[in-house]
Amino acid sequence: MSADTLHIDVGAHALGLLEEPDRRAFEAHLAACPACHEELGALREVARMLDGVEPITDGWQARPETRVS
Amino acid sequence: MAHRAPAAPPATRESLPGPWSWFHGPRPAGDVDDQVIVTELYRVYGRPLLSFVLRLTGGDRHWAEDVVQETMIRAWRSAHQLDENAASLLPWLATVARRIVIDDQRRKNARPQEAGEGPLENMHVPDGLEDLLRSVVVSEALLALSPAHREVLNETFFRDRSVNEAAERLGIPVGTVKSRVYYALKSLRIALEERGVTP
Ligand SMILES: [Zn+2]
Repeated sequence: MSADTLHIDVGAHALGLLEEPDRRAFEAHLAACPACHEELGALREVARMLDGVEPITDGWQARPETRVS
Repeated sequence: MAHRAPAAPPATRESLPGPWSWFHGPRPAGDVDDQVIVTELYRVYGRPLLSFVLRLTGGDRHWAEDVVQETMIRAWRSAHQLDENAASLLPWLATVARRIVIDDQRRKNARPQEAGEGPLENMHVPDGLEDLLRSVVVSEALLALSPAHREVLNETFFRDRSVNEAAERLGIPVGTVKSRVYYALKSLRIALEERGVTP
């Protein structure tokens, strides 16, 4: 797997979405990649913000009878 | 709800958040149809505000929808007082909605309370208000993502699936899922910063 591809994995890793072989490969890359190290810190903060947040499901509708007076 | 007295703005002009450029805009305000304003308020803020209010009403959806509607009407009435440069109206709307819920609760209880007596203790608030507000702002930021970015977060993080599992379900290469997750998080970070939430 090329280094470019591994950089991208930082997002999935921040959310804990990598399966075992990919996770090990990324962590090996991480040890030698200052850019990913820095970005992982930032993206983990974003991931932390998602804790306890409900997913956005489509289909929510505004009440059609809304009036303004 | 027509009997409700008009709301005083909950904060001073300086601290009011809200992206009102679409409203104040280059057009004279008189050109903007009232219904258009309320419809736009619902489009941008309806869903995150409803999810916030639902937790204040303990899951009572009909009550929550009434509160959201009243909040939107008060926002429309207060449009001229809102800060057009702030990133999000949501904190302002949440403050108004919370006040409406408290007023409703007091009316239901028919037991007037002194101001500052801690009315939130009578409501079903699972977390602190700060956490609630944060989750509402994050929900709003999620709505600002592209549908593809929202979908990939729904199919992975929110359903507790690995990128490989999501790729299989979506019928796309795992590299594409990884890439979308990455750019979705980057976009979400920017959307949060725009709303004054610094991750
Ligand atoms: Zn890297």
